[in-house]
Amino acid sequence: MRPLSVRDLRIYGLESRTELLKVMRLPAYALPTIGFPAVFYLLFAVALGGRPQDGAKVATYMLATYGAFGVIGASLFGFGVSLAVERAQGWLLLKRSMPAPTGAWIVGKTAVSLVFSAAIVAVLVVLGVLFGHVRMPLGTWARLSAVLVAGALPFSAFGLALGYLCGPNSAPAVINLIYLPMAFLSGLWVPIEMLPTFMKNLAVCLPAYHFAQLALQVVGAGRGGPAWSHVLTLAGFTLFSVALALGAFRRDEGATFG
Amino acid sequence: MKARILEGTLAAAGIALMAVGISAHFRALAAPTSRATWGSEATPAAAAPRPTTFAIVDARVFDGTAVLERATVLVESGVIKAVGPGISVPKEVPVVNGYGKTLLPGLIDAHTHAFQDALERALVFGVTTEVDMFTDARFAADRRAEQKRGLVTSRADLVSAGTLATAPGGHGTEYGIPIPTLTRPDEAQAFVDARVAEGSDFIKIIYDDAASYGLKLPTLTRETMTAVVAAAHQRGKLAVVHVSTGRAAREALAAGADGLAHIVADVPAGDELVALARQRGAFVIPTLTVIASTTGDTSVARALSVDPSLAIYVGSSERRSLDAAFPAPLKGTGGMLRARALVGALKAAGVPILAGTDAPNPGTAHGLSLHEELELLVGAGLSPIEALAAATSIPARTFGLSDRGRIAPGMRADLLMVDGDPTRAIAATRRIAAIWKGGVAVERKPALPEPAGARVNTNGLVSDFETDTATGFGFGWQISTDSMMGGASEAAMRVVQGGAQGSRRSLEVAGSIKPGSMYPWAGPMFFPGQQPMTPANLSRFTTLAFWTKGDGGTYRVLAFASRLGRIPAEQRFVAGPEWREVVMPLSGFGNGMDGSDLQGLLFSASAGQATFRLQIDDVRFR
Amino acid sequence: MAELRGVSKTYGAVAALDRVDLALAPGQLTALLGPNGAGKTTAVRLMLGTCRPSGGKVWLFGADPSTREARQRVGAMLQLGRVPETLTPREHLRLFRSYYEDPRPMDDLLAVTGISGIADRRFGHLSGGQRQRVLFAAALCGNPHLLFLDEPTVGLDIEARHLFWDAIRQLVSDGRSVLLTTHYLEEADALADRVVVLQRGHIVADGSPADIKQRVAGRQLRCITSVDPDRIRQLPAVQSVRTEGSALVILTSDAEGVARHLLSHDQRLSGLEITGIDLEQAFVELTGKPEGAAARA
Repeated sequence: MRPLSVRDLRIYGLESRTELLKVMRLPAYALPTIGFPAVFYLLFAVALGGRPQDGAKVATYMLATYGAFGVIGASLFGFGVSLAVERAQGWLLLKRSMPAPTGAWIVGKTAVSLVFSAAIVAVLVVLGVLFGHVRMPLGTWARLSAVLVAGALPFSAFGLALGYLCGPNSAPAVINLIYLPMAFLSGLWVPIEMLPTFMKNLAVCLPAYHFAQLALQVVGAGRGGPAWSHVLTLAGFTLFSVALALGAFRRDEGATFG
Repeated sequence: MKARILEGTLAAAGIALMAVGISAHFRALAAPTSRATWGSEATPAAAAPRPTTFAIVDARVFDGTAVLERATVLVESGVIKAVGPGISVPKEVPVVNGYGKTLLPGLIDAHTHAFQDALERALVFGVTTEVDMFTDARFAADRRAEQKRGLVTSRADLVSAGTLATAPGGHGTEYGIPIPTLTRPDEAQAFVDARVAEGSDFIKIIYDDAASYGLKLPTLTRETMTAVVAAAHQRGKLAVVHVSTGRAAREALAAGADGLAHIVADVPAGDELVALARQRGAFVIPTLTVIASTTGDTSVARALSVDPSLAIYVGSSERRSLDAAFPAPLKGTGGMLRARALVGALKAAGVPILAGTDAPNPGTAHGLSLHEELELLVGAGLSPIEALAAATSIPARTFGLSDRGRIAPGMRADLLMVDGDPTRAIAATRRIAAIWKGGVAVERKPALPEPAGARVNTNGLVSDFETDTATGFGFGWQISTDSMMGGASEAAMRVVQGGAQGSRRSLEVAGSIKPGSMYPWAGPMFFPGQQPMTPANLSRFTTLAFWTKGDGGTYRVLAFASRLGRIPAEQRFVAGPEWREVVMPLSGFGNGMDGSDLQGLLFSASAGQATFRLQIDDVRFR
Repeated sequence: MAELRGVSKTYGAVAALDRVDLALAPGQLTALLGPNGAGKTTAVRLMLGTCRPSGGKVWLFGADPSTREARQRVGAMLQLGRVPETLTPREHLRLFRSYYEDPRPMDDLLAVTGISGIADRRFGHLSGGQRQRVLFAAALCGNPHLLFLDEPTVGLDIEARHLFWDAIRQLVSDGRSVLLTTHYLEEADALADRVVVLQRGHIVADGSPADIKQRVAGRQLRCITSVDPDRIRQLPAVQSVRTEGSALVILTSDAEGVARHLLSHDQRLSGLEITGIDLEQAFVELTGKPEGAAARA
């Protein structure tokens, strides 16, 4: 691997900026990605947040879970759908024929996932403070935000794999079919404690559950496992996704010709 | 082909890592612990009779002095039977999974003032024993008797000095309870004997004129102080001396004090008091928590009150106590720096350091503040392990509590289990996973929220007493006295002829205030809610008005509200010889009082009135 | 410059290319022709380095085509389904230019491709012709020595197509090489220095347009006649007869002889033309597929 040159870093930066511009000018993508978690949060955590005296505790808990929900969505859709579409259009092929640094386009899309994840977290934080009466020490706020945004990485890897496995028309449907049930079963909508035991056990096998637990542990509401068990599971999930992506990429290379 | 191998390896590695992570997590969740969660998970322990025979496995154990990275603790009938890495647990004994957690001996707060529900609150935060340095002697005696009868699982245990030794008008007499004092050395033995007869576990002596706080309080002379120390030793009791200057500390140590309460902040770390303490084998309870509060350094206290691990257990009165500030700050100290430096020097010299908070002074709260004290001790130079010892084995050993403070065979199973590793990062003590007292799991209940008051449909008239003591709204009038707290005051009310402004009748209250309780009171109490002490929302009124005449004494209106917790706010009035209207703004009760959560209004005589008589009429809100 | 040496590429059971040798020389425009499925796109992708050969070796400027160094001197204009529509041409080009070590100055690029006026309009608001020009600019932005143009004039009207041809000719005269794939045989005829014909993974012809046409010996005779085409086919020296509207197009090595025969049998014969073979005819002969007819339909 050649060492990274300054020029390459500039290219990564320009790639990220261009990709970000491209996506932000699509209100049909940008608004729902940030809007859905915010609306759900307002609805479930603030308005219907259970007993009034639980108020801030529910809002704090759901800040972690809906934050995870939003970040996962931003990563899966940001990567998965846009990749599937651009792949089919041949756009990716054109970029690959150019002397871009390896994986520049991956860096670009990852940057978009991270930026959107940060935006979602910021919006939820503001909603939580203003309407959910969430109060936490500054260090906890910082750690929660860091954990949530970092979660964009494993799910971007998974989005990458899905983008290569799906066609442009099926990608949104397939990704939704994976995203929404996984979010529910991992306790991102209804707190995991309220689900029946067999669902609780099933959740432990889902990466979204581990992500949410890491965030919940920051606010002191985790279920009690050691943090490294979650980190390890997410790392394994990332590796697995990368392997899947590599395989799908190679298979894809041979799929279209003529 | 090479690519296929790479993909296969990555996929396999990924799956392997996931499997490890998932199984580790399952193991951690495997056995239930009696930990209060976010409300919906019922703790199995609560349903069945709580067993006192169980084993905690795979936990890191701090046994009071040293750390075992991974051990099993077997408890049988509330007593620790065995501790170690390889203990085998009998099949029928329930197992508690301590994986990823640390087990500590139940914490001991070596300097508090316990009354009302202090001991109950302390237990919620992992403190299983409090060493009280001054409280009502009868309160302490009742608690000790309860503890003697058997294991008390609803609160921390009390070890108390009872009444402290101070000069007339000195520190300790300003709280409104009359206490015995002494002035001359020859009174010392009788004084100590009386304390021992009352049940004091040790003797606390005040040797402080409060000059460092800019006040001038009377204090015991050096000779008297020395005599009391000797008298205490004569009766086999420890003598703990409260000081606030380096000079007083040295004099107390020279007099033979077994321990000093409060670290001083007016001498450098190299002062000879360090060597003197070492030489005398004395201990020191720095109470850095309250020192921080007096110097205005409230950052740790504030962080504690919003810490997510503890937040749901912190009640409103605790929060207020943590937010409160001292009226007279410590003068000329260089803040916490000197205090910390001295603590570091004492520790380095091998003087035993004990963790105490001086709760519930402003800026502190029972139980909660001990976690702050641990952090401050670490900040002063103790290692986390030394700080934990200062809150467990060292106070137990110092005060002769031979059955606690350590996790070892034969010790009582007073245990605290926390998430993470406080032996490396002391703040982990806040993440309490479970508490046991004598082997019985403690059920931590989240603090009750402040109930909002119900709106009252009324024009504001409470009573005009024209026919009887009926009220326009609320539960009504009831006599309330301090007998419920062990006092002996009395009061009676009746409707009599002759009222204010020419009205026919009014309420007459007569009674007597007798000494014997910390806060004496007697008088009629009006409850604005449907039930006594249920809060009512009277915020649309701004004042309380009533007519009064009486024996010329100074009386008080005590207002009880949800936001105040148990302590009422008061405004005073004089009941003169002629009918006179008294108008009190609700905001005059302070604390942001606006009548929105009013629980009760008590019209009471003051402490100095042996007998009293007054009339009240036309009580209304405006 | 670019070379396929003994290259094969199979997709599953299908062999898109079968031991093909193809070398591109500098300063030349090579037209790559062939029916659908002949392997044109595969050959281009292999040379661009976007897929790897199943057998044989691909060189691009003496190096592996998938390396960045090799691609520095290459530009490509590919047939794309769609281009991200929310970015402007300037933004697209700025990114692409950054990949290259010696990119063409932005203003020059915009001027040469005639998109200076629409450089800051979002791609989604551009017409078909404008979009093609932007893609052309993308291919040029790195000052490439070798250009791959894949069906560059599809969907353009005649005037735009001829403008494109002029631009391409300018590039070649600047000394660059071009590999052009196209369905429009007159385009190849008009532009190419060299024509390579692929069929079913093999090269069936390789030479200048004139050479190709000459491989198919003879000339082309066109007329409107009532003589039965089957009878004409039976004449010696007639290679093929096809109808084109109301006329017959006859491929023959003896055009004058056939003309005399027809004239003697049909006094009413009209529209007689004798020309050399055009590339379309040669193509049909070589591949047996009326490629051009399909394109025109």
